[in-house]
Amino acid sequence: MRSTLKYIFSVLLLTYGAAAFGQVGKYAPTSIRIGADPGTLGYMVFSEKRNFFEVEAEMDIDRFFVVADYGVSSFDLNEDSYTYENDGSYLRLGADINFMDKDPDQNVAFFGLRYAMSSFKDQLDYNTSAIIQSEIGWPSGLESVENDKVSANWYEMVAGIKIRIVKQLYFGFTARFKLKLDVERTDSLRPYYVPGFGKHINNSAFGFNYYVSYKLPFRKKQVYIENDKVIEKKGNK
Amino acid sequence: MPKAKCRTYQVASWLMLILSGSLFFSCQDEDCVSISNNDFLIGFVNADTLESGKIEYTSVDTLFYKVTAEGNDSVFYDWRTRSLTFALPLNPSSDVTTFHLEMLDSIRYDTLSLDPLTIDTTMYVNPMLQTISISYDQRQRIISEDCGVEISYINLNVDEVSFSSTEIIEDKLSRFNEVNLEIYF
Repeated sequence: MRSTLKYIFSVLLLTYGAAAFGQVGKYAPTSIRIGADPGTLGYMVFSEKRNFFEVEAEMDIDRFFVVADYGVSSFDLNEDSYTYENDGSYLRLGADINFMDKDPDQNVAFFGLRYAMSSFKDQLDYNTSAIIQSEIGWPSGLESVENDKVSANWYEMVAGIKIRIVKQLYFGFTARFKLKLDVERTDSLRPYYVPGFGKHINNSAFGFNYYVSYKLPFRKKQVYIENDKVIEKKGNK
Repeated sequence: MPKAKCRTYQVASWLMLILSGSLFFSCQDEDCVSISNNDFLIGFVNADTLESGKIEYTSVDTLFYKVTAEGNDSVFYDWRTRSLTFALPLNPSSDVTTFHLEMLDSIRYDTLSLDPLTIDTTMYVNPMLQTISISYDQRQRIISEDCGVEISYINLNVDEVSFSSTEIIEDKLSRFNEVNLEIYF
């Protein structure tokens, strides 16, 4: 996990540096926005089942954003007849298109696509007497099954908004339709939870994230209008 | 309206939209439905019916003295059982279950007793103990947090059988199975 974080930060730093010193043009990046899901705090305080921490980084290129999300997650169930533990991390990579790129307040309404991958381990301990809809006919016993190194991948269609609250601070949400989940390297236990995807009930699911993010601009954004006249956008920097 | 105030209203409106957005993404329904169980179904087939092309499970000649399993003290069936098929519960704590079937050749009821409440029953036990040993793979999943755990039994295989002729008809257990193993006699 530490190596993955190092990798992501390295990529972000390199991208930021390259963009900052690169040539100015229509497709030259003008800012990076870094954010986190504040829902983490809510789950940390109120949820005994789920905990996660997710950061998001995006770089704008004209009216597009290149986006990377990284998160770590744990999901635990402690019921009378069974316990379930799941720990892992996930990474989403993709791009968004901004439908409000000419907004003077620099708010964002976007639609995008993601490719997501997750790696995790999980374990189920259960009492055989509590197996659903079976009259077992055997003395009850405690059993344990686990998956050591599961990998999963899926795709997402996302849409959302980001509103500039003050200066460079943004608040928004991303709604996700996750589809074509593929889970690999499982043993006899079917994972109940996939970090970043949610409950593995079907191969598709809806998701929702809030984000608080901070924009780090490194040059003025230029807006190209129909007659190719360049107008500097008012606002940041 | 002053520009600053207008922007405040704008941001407030957007925030209300953002916060209400999550209401559209409520929890997914989770149904407590499982088609799995651990009943391995056997059916006795009179070989004579095979020639007619219409297989019929019979209870006429199927008489158990008792049916037990290794590692389990329970008697699953005894001589009072009359059924076309028999459910033998697989052990959820193992990947092999061995059943012992003690068969009866016949039962004779003595109804000539002077006491009408007493009927003497004489059982003629077949000296040959029949054995069926089944191996299988299990798949575990949590259906939902409230529903609990489901175990599916798949890749059923007859490792050992003392009956002269048998055939696996369905190699995974389901509540909708008619029979998993046919025993011909």
